[in-house]
Amino acid sequence: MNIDSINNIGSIRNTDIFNRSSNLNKTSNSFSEWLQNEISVANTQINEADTKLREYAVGGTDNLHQVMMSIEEAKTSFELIVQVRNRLLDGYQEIMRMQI
Amino acid sequence: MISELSGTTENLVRAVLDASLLRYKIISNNIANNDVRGFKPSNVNFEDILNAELNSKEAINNNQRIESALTSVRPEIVERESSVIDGKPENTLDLEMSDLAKNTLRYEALIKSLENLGSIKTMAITGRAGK
Amino acid sequence: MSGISIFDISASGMALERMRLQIESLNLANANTTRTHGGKIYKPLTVLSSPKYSEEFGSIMSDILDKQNVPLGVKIDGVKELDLPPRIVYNPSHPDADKKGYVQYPNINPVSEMVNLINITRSFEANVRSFNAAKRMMQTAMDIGGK
Repeated sequence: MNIDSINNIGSIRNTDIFNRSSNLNKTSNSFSEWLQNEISVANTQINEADTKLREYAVGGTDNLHQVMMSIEEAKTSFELIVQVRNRLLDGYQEIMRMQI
Repeated sequence: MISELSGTTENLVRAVLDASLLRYKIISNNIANNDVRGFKPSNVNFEDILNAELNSKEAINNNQRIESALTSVRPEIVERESSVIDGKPENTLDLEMSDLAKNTLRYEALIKSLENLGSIKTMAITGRAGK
Repeated sequence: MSGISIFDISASGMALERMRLQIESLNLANANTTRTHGGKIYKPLTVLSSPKYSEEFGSIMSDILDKQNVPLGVKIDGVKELDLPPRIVYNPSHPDADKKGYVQYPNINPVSEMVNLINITRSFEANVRSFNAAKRMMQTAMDIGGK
């Protein structure tokens, strides 16, 4: 039986899809690095949305769609993290429930 | 920056909303008194004064500067300089209408934006994503 | 709160314009009234109005305004007869003609009264829009805290 084709599965890790989800330039496939990066991206976006809202409030900008979009972006990034955290927690709890 | 539950951004937006409500009353008053002889319409100044103090990137991100600006700056009601012909002021109804639309929009935009930004905090607290 | 609502201002404006409309219609209807109940010529009426202020400090705005007078819209001060010289028309056969054959008509120019009507309508509509704006603002504020 020829199982050479199965060996090709390992090369998926280096394709574009995984590289794009990380803002790091080097090819990284550590999940915790990816998650930490996402958290810092979300934090930056939240702070930026906060700043944009302040600027709009004092009339420094009248670019309302920019404000709304920044907030939406930040919300989505943060939502991603919350969901990842929930799944991690679910997975952990399931493992803890396993009877050995 | 949104680590506090009720922080500087909320205080800032709340102050601007207060001024916006006051501005609505003044515009509404201008409209109601539009045909009264000798009546001079008024404006409310607030955001411009704040903006003068907080016009830079460093200032807008400095919570202390914003808080101190909020305690010292108050909304001002100023009579508009309008031309008066024969005791009757020029008809400024169109101006009031556009001010009204602008003001209403800002009021709603600020509330909605604050709400959306706040829902991020809600997400963090409840651990539940989405509205 | 002493019962002052944000809608009072535009409501007062609407009330004034409605009053002006009634008076205006009355003037138009009597444009040719040479003799009223009292036996004299009809005198055109005008509505007197002035801004309404609150001397109370009980409103929310008082701390912002440092006790300035809060504007509350407009009030109707009453109706006044305008003492305008009458239009004189020569018509000796008219029952109200004087000894020389001249009849006095009220000094009401239908064209300018029409213009007044248009202005009244515009003002009324503006107050309605103001009312609707307040309603929108209140509805948005009510939505704080999620739908």
